[in-house]
Order: sequence, then C-alpha cells, then structure tokens
Amino acid sequence: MTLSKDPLNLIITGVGGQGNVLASQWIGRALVRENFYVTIGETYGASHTNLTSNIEY
Amino acid sequence: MIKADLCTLCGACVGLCPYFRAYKGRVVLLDHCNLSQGRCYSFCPRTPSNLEAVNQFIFGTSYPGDALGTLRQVVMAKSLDKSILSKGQYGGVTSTLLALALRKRMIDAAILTKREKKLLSSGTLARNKREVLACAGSNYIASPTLEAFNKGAQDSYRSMSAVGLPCQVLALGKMRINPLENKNNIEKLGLVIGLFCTWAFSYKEFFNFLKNDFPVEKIGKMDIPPPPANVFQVELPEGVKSISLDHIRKFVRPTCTVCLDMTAEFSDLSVGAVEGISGWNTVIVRTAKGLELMEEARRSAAIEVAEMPRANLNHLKEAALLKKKRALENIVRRTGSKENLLYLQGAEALQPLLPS
Amino acid sequence: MSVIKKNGPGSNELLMGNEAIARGALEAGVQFAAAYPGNPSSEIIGTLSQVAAELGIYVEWSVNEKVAVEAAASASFAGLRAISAMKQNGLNVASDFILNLNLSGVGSGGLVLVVADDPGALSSTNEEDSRFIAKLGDFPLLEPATFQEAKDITKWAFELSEAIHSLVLVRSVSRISHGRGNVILGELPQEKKTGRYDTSKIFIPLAVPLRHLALHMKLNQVREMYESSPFNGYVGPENPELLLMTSGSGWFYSLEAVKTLNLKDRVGILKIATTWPLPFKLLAKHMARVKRVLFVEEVDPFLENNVKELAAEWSPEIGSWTFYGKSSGHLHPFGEINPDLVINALPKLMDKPYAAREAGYGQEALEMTKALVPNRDLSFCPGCPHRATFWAIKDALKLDGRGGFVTGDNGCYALGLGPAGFFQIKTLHSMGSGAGLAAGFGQLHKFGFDQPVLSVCGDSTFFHAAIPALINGIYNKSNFVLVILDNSATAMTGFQPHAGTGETATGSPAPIVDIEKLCSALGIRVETCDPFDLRGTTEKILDLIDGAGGVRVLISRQKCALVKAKEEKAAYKVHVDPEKCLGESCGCARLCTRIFKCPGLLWNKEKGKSQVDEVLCTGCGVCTDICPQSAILREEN
Repeated sequence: MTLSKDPLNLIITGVGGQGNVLASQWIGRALVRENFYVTIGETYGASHTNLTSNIEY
Repeated sequence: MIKADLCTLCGACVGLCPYFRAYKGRVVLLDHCNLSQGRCYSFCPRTPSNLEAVNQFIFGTSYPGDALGTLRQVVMAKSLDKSILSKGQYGGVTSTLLALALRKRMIDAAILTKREKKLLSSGTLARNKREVLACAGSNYIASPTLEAFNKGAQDSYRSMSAVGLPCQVLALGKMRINPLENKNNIEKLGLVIGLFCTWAFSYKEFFNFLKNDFPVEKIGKMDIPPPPANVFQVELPEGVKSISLDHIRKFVRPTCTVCLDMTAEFSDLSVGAVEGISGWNTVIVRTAKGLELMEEARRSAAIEVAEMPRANLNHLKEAALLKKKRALENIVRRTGSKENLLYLQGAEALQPLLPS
Repeated sequence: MSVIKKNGPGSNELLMGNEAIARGALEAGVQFAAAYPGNPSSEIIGTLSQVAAELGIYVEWSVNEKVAVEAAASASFAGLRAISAMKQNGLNVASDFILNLNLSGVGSGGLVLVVADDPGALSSTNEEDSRFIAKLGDFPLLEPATFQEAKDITKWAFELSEAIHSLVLVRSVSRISHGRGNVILGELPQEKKTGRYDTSKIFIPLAVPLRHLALHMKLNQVREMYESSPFNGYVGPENPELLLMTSGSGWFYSLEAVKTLNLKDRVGILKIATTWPLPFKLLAKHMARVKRVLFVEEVDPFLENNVKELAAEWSPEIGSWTFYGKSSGHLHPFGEINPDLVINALPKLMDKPYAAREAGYGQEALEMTKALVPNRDLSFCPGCPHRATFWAIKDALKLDGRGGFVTGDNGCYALGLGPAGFFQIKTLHSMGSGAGLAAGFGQLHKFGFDQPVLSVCGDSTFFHAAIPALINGIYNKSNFVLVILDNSATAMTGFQPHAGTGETATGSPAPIVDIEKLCSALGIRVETCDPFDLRGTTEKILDLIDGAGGVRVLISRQKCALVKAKEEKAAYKVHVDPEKCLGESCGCARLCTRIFKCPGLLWNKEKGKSQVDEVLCTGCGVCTDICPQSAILREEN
C-alpha cells in the first residue's frame, strides 16, 4: 500500500506498570478515528523489564 | 569451615543472624550473606585464631604452649550435695559451682548443654539449681551450645556463665577480642567453665549407630572411662552397657583431629575426671575469678577440695601433651608445611611440639 | 473488547492481532471455541469468551490443548464452525490428535486451528517454528502479515476447511498477535446453524495409506486455490535485482527495510500468505525474473528450505539461484527477527552502503539508558504465595542436608529458577514435566541415589499434564513429593479460570474439581499448608521428605496476590521500624531486600534502612517473619 506522507514514529518507553500499553492504545484509537493508518508494536509479557510501544502513523 | 569438615558445631556462629541455623547436629547456612567481615568468621574457633592475643586478654601473659595452659593451681574436688552427685558426672563439681554462683547472684544465668529427645543436644539457659541439674551429665556428642549464649546475651541478663568444650571456650575467647564494632554483648560473659575433651561425636551417624543396638530413649548417663578402658558406656535401666571405642571412632568429628586443647585453656576454671579415682573431678583453676568461686564453694561447704596426687597430675599432662602433638602432626600433614598451622596463629610457643 | 462484536461493517477500528483473528472467526459464523491459555494466543479465546453469551456461541477454557482441539473437532463433526487457538507448545500437546485428524478429515463445519508462535521465547520455555507441522501432517497453512489479514485470513480459513474437509492451520507470531493496527470490519452473520452428527459418516484415519494419498490430492486442490489467492502479493520492479520472499511479520520488516534503504526500484518483495502447500506457479513466475532471493521469515527457514526444494526441481528448466536467509546467516536462524536485521542484510547484497547513525551512537545511548533504567529482576509480585513456598522449600532442603532439589514446571512459579524463587528450580521443560522427571528420579534409589526430590506444579498445570505423571509415580512405586502451588488461577497467562476455580470462561459457575480429594482418592498421603505460615510449611516439607514414603502430595494453598487484591482488602498494614532495622550490618545484611526481595520492600540507600513501599505492598505480612530483628511490623487491617 502507498502512504501519502512519510510515517511518523512515536516511541513510548518505560517499565512495566507505568501505563505504556494503555497510553499507546489511547493514542492509537484516537488516530484511527481520525482516519490515520496506525501500527502499534508492543513488547510485554514475561519480558517486562522494558516496554516499548512503537506507534507508526 | 562447614564444607572443609572443620566445623566443631560449637554454635558460636548461630543466633547472630538469620543465615546460620543449628539443626539436628549440623550447622546449616541457609542463605549467603554478602558481608566480608562478620562476627561468625571472627568468633569461629577454626578460622585464624590468635592464641597469643586471647591468652593476653584473659590472663595478661603469653600463651605458654605447654600441656595444660595458663593456670594457678590444679586440684581435685567433689560436690558435697547428694542431689547433685546422683545427677552429675564424676564429682558433680560443675553443676555445684553453677548452682552456688546463681544462688549467690554472682551470675544471673548459665549457658549449659541439655540433652533432649533422640540424644540431640543444644544450648540452654539455666537460672536456678533445678535448671542446672537438668543439664547435668557428660555428653559426648557435639552440641551447638554457644547459640544459647548469643541469644541469651540479647536479653537483660547482666552476668552470664557458660560451660563449654575447648573449642567453645576458644570461641568465647575470640568473642572477647573481636575487633568488629558489634561486640555481641560479650561484656555480659562473667565466668567460663571449660570441660576436658579428647574428641566429640557427630550426631547423625553416631545416633543411627546407637539406634541399631540400644533403646536410645532409655539411655541415661554416658561415660568414657579413662584409658586403658577403651570403651564407651551407656547407662540403661537394666545396667551399664559398653561398646568398644574401636567401633565408634569413625563417628568422631573430623575437626577434632586438629584440636590441640584437651583442657580448655582459655577458661576461668576447667573441669574433668580424675583418672583412677571415681567420684572426684580434676579442677584447673586459671583466673582470679575462678579462684574466687572455688573459695566461695569451699567456704559454703558446697564442695570438698583435695590435693591432686603427683602421678595423676603427670598423667594428665602427658595426655594433654599427646593431644597437642597429635593435632599438630595432623595439621602439618594437612597443610603440607610447618609454617602453615591452618587456623593457629600467635602460637610460636608450640614450635617445640611440631613434628620433625 | 466490545468492538469485537460491533455490528458495523466497513467501520475502521484499532484491533490487536488476536482480536482481529477473533473477529474473523465471528464473521465466519464460528459457533464453538476452545483453547488453553498460552502467550501469545490467549486473547483469541479470551475476547470470544467475553462476547459469547451475547452472541449465542460456545466458548470454553479447556484443561489442555489436546482436549481443546478434540472438543472443537466435535462441533465440526456436528456441522458447526469451530476454532481452537494455542501457542507453539500447545500445538505439540495437540499434535497426536491432529495428526490423526488430518487423515480422518473434519466434518461439514470448518475447523481452524490458530497457532501463535513466540519467536525469541519472550514468554515461553522454548522457541519453535510451528509451520513444520503443516508439512508433517499435510495441513493447509496460512500466515497473516497484517492485522487486516489476521481477520480476513481467519475468516477465509473456515471456507477453505469446508472445501476440503480438513483442519486448516493459521500461524501467527507475537508481533502480529499482540500488535495493533487498523482493521476494517466485515459483516456478522445472523444465522446460527443447528448441530447434528450425520451418523452415516465416520471419522477415522483408516485405511491409512489410502487416506494419506487422498490427503495429498486434497492439498493439490488447495494449491490450485492458493495460486490465485488475494492474500499473496508482489510489490517492486518487474525484474528486480533481488527478491525478498517473505511471510507473516517479515512483510512489515521487508517493506521498512526497502524503504529505509531506498531500494524500491531494485528490490522486489513477494509476500506469501499461503505458506503450505506452496503455490508452485506463482513462485515460478516470480523466480524466473530474478537470480537472487533473500528469505525473511520468523524462527526457522521453513519457507526458505521448501522453496529451495522446488528450485532444485526447476533448475534444469529455469536455471539456478543464489539463496540468502537463515542458512547463509543473513538473518539469524534463532531468536526473533526485526527490521534492523533486514536493513543490515541489504547493503551487502545490494552493494549500497548504509549507516543508520554515527558509529558511537549506539554505545552512547546504551550508557545513557543504563543510568535511567531501573534494575529489575524477573520477580514474583508482592504478596505472591510462590515466594513464600519457595522460601520454605529452600530452608527445608538446606536443613535436611541430603542435597534435595526441585524439578520445575510451567507457570508463574517457573521463576523459581531465578533469584525470585531462591534458585530452587533445577529443571524446566513442558507442562507436567516436573512431575514426570520426579517420578523417574524417585526410582533411582536402586542405584545409590539418596537425594530428596520435590516437584512443583501449579493448580492449572496439575490438571493440564501432571496427573498422568503422578499416577505413573504411584503405580511404579516411586519416591517423591509433588508440591502443588494452588493459587486458584491460571495466573501467568492472565488469571484465566480452570477446572479447580469454580468458574467457566464465560463467567458462569462451574463445579470445582477438588485437587485434594482427587489426590487422596489415589491412595497417597496428601497434606495441605498455608505458604504464608513459613515455619509451618517448612516443617511440613521436612516431615514429608523425611520418610521414603512413596509418592506424597503437598498442596500449598493461597490465592494469587493479584487476584486477591481485586477481591479483598489487604490482610495487614505493614511497616518497618527504622530503629530496629539493622540494614547492611552483620546480623542481617539486608535479608529482606537482598534475598527475600519482595518488590513491596525498598532499600533506602541514604538512610541505610529498609522500608515498605506502600503502593506496591499488598499487606500479606510474610516479611514480618523473615526479619531477624522483628523490625518489620504488621497490624491487622
């Protein structure tokens, strides 16, 4: 697929329990409502020592 | 020390912190402490032990390195208290002296070894004659008695006495000179009574051995009569049973082979049997405090004191010297060098006794 | 999660990969779903369970993956569409059934098995490429590469399954399952089918060789369908210098790499979603135009090796190629792939130098983050009963002194192999393996083995796989102690209910299968204990390992701290008396914060004292029994 603009990479990082995943979800949903194409990659699970959410839109 | 089979099970390292625990005849390290300087290391009678320093602190004189250590006099004594004589070992002197000291408030607590079920012994705190008597009688199985001192010293007692084997008496000596800030309330230690000792058994192996042949719950007193008897005796309801020492030497704690102290050289008083004379104790009086207690006991007619026959004294010295020589032989064999005496330091006086 | 059941075809929603898969199943009219929780697949059945009642479908958490697929297959046999979802290990557990189901075929209801692999084992004991089972069992395999595809492919998988009466595998990975992106929803069917078993049909794999042949013929049919599948696609020049052949999450990374290096006029990307059987003609068409191929896929060179097999057949006609990928080392044949790996592979292959940033940047960034990122071990939660149980086990085994050890199993308590559980666990494999190993160790006394053996497993793990091992031990007169850590939850995967918790996936009450009664019925000694009573638990363990009394069970029972926190208020208010705290000195050496290490206890460096973190502390009060100075105090709340 072709995008009209270069994607913007938004990286939210922290440690488990700070609300990373939730924050990326809220931002993602808001962007989708505005008709942006969004991809969110998350790292969580047993690997909870660092958390990065990569939001590209 | 535990891994190297050098642990004497004296108990000096137990009761100081949550890492060491005494359990069923072993000292167990539950977790790893990360300190490089700890009281456990400082007090252990098998870590580097400066005999000169301990001797100076307690007696004000150099470590003699001779048969019996620093002393004022060696006498024979026996209790005049019938109730004690029936329970105590040989002359019952240790129990009598402590009961007296408690009654006269010279001390307010005594750390003794108590035998519980299944021949398992541990340290206990006695505050009166009854509690002292409950601990009377020789116990040839190693007991981590000093755990009770460590715990008791945290309570409000002002002057405590402790009865221990030579390794325990050495540990108490090391506690007195320990350079660390935490003094472990050692100033509360008033009087140390040492017991003569050639060696002690390891609990588990020896217990399992006895269990096979005897009803262990019924064992009363235990005794190892002086040579040439070569037996271990247990008192049972039906009479006294003997076991040849040759069958049970293998249960002796390995660390005993490197112990050179037969008469607990760093005590105030040392007490043992008298060879060939039943019903009496040998008492080595070392310090002014020890002398004071003996005098008090004599004055109160709690004990009877007699001169020690020359022949007996010579025999005692021979036996003690032999233990020293044997230990030094074993140590040098183990370290491979006469310069390295394993845990002994400040022991130049022992040079003449080293193997050639 | 309500967006899953939204009746709004054409609406643009942000969905997690697993949610998209669930939505795809719903749009296909799925009526039966069964699974066992396993990261990264748990949310598939998890989200379906939340809408089950409203949508009138059946969803269950099964006791293990094998019975889950069996349950789902029954629905298929009765003409209803069914789905089962699991992680790679779950597929191993279900494999015996599905490797017979491939030959027996499924019913008129499509059956889809979604397997979500965990490359790099971010949350697993192993890493495994599940796609091989498709080749092993002759199953059609599909790999979604985007969140939209996760939905659309899952939906189509049911149609495919019904076209050939075979189970269809859909393979996802963590990045797809747990990533989120735009998904345009489709329609939800209103009609519900009635379940009925046509008794003229039988589902058996016999006569095996004939069925095997028939299965190959089915796959040929599938291959024809794959040749024109809209899920495969190509972007790039007509005659590329290099072809990136990719499937699944590799698609995103390939796109990003090509764009970053500005190679879209020289490098083509062929996305394969229909990974098995491979669509020959499509592949041949693209490979005829290129001499060099780089494979970008997760875990093993599955696509790579299968294409190489084809290439060996084609080479007399089409020619030969140079292949790059996991075998050549351009991408790692282990661990998870990421965009950087692909970006780093391309410059050499395309003779185009690329430097992402200045040479020292990485090192600089690392130094900076070291100062900012707090050191975090893998830990048990504050108030976790496992910490207490492992403490008691540690003390008991040390006091016992015979060199006793613990065989471990899967779940939160698997962390017992690290500092969180005081390094007690010595073995860790699949579900139920701890008990299996222990039953074996317990026979070795014939060979002079005299060490006490403990096995730990969770309540959910017990039902999943430990029971046969336990019975094996009893029947063969083994000697070991099974410690069942009963925290009333399948905790690690998200607190799903199980056979012992009294609740189904959809929240309705369920009969409790009582572990204690079950074990007692096996005729062995069963004890229970409260792990928060450290001394009592230690004594119980010492007592249990003392005798060589065959197989013994100890149920260490205390609710999971996180589940408890949602249901009850804290039992105690805990605080540290700084006057009594010895801190680092001889006599304590920070036992509570250095060894016990509950996150609810903090070490105050400036003051040199421990203190309670009031936010994290759950008030279980266990630490008060650890402190040698009684400096940690608790009051009833």
